[in-house]
Amino acid sequence: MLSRHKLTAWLPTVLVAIFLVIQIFPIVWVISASLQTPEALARGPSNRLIPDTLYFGNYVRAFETSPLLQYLLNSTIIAVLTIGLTILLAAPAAYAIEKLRFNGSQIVLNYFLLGLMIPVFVALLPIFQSLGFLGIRNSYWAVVLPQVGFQLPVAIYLYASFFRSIPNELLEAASIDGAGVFRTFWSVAVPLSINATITIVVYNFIFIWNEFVFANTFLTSDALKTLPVGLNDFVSDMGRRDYGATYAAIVVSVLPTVALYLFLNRRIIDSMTAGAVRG
Amino acid sequence: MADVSIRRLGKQFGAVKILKDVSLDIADGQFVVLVGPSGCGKSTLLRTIAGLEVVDAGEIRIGDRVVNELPAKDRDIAMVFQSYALYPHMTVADNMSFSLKLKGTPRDEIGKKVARAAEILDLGPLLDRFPRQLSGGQRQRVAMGRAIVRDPKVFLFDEPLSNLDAKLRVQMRAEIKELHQRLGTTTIYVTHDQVEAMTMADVIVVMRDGIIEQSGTPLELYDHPRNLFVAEFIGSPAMNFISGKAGPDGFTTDDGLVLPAGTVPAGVVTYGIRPEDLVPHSDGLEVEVVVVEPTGPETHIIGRLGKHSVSAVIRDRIDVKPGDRIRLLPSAARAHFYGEDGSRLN
Repeated sequence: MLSRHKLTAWLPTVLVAIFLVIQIFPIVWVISASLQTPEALARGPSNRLIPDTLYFGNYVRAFETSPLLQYLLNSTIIAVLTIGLTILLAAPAAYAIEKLRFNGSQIVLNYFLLGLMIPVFVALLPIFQSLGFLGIRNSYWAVVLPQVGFQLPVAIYLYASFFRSIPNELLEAASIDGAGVFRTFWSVAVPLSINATITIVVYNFIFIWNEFVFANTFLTSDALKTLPVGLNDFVSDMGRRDYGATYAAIVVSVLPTVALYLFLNRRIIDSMTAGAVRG
Repeated sequence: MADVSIRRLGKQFGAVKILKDVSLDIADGQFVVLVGPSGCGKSTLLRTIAGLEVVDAGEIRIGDRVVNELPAKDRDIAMVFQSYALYPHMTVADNMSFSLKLKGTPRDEIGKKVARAAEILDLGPLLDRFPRQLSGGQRQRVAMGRAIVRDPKVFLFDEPLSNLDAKLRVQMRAEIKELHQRLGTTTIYVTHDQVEAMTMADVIVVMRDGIIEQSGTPLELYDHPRNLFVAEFIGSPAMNFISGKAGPDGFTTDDGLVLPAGTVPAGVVTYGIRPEDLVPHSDGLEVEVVVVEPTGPETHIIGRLGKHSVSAVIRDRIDVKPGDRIRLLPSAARAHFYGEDGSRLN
């Protein structure tokens, strides 16, 4: 029998392994399916996880039968604009709340956090009407602006938590050195918050990249479709589906998120554990 | 360089008054140490001079300018913080040149000033390193370098040595003092360590509860502390205090012992004597030894004189152990007398 000590030592590893399999299996399965021939896929569940031969025809069809590249470009433009604008607004707002010590700063922070409690669907109709009023429905901004609004609470909260950990003495040293508020923010607070920024970029990117409701509601032009909306193209009018091409398109849509995470992974962990130990 | 004049300064946080009507004159080139227990207002006073806190009342003058309304960057001061406050993402050279870049100083002049400061502080080989790659002492020197390059009228130090170990603290103390002698810049230095104050200051300012209890040269404060608080705060080990009253032959303690004291002023209730002014002598008073602390050059003895606890510093080697009885004679000429309100009577 396993001793109690060995069990407690192994249990976390086993649990993490199970969790990992549950998380990774669907991704591996989709990648595998995207590389199998239509015949192999037609055999259904009996097809192998590791294909006999690597078949790239699904990818060729995915790009040929649908404007996948255009969808990729649209998603990228919307993600870059949304993240850029979110950071541009959240970082100075959080800095002001945490470091400029004005009356009611905590109330302002709580006000922003209230945004976390508003469900997207409740706001859908008012936003739809507002976008119409502004004349920007069916444009990139129709998806970018509402998403910025919904991403701001988390971004402000994360930045505020980070700025709280910057010692005031550092900012005071900058002000004695001759830096004004904006220069102190730009030259001291922003470079120090690089890990927080990366966390916000990755965290928001996953949501923005996968966003469906706004894109499906506010964008009607085919030329503006994003990847999650565009994936619908692979279901034909009669409900027939080219599974191979669909899996290939899903892999294409997932790849940027995985690549971004793998590239910035170390920084995110650093930022999550920042302040846990004395530097 | 400039003199600093503080007139009737007041500062409060909420309902708590931190500085109460503080006035102080600091001469051009002087090294002034603000000392006092935690919460006495010394750091707040320094921060108001720096421009990091807004004053509620009074006037601060640096040179011939009233600086109350001026932002920190326009006061021509430089400050060294307790935590060094070095920019972690900048190299040593960038840390030191940051203020000059903001001022728009030409690049070659920045290079010269940084090189000069690096030479003074022996930082030359460290200029390309980041703060995280430096030891505590090196970081402290970089913080001083950052202050020096600005060539300010006044240096402000806020407990700069309290994060260093004891040995490094002694070394840095000497370096700061040497730096002051070399540059001659007016310096205001905050510490809670009275040894630091005694060894570094031209003038010590002792603070308590937002007021200045006494200011003067280190030896003035040591030899003539104005009240019980200063007498107790300055000096290590602290002055001995014995309660009692004036008697016909000197000072009579509560438990009836008579201490030789020359002329004892009327109204005295506390007799003070420095530990080194209790000397072994056959005519002395009997003291029961409780603790013996040999430090090498001297021996500290804590003992009981009647019901009073006293400490003595014996300069000559002495062979005693706890439980022994020795005779210690207080120097009558060096006795300090304090009245009911704690103020000095002699």
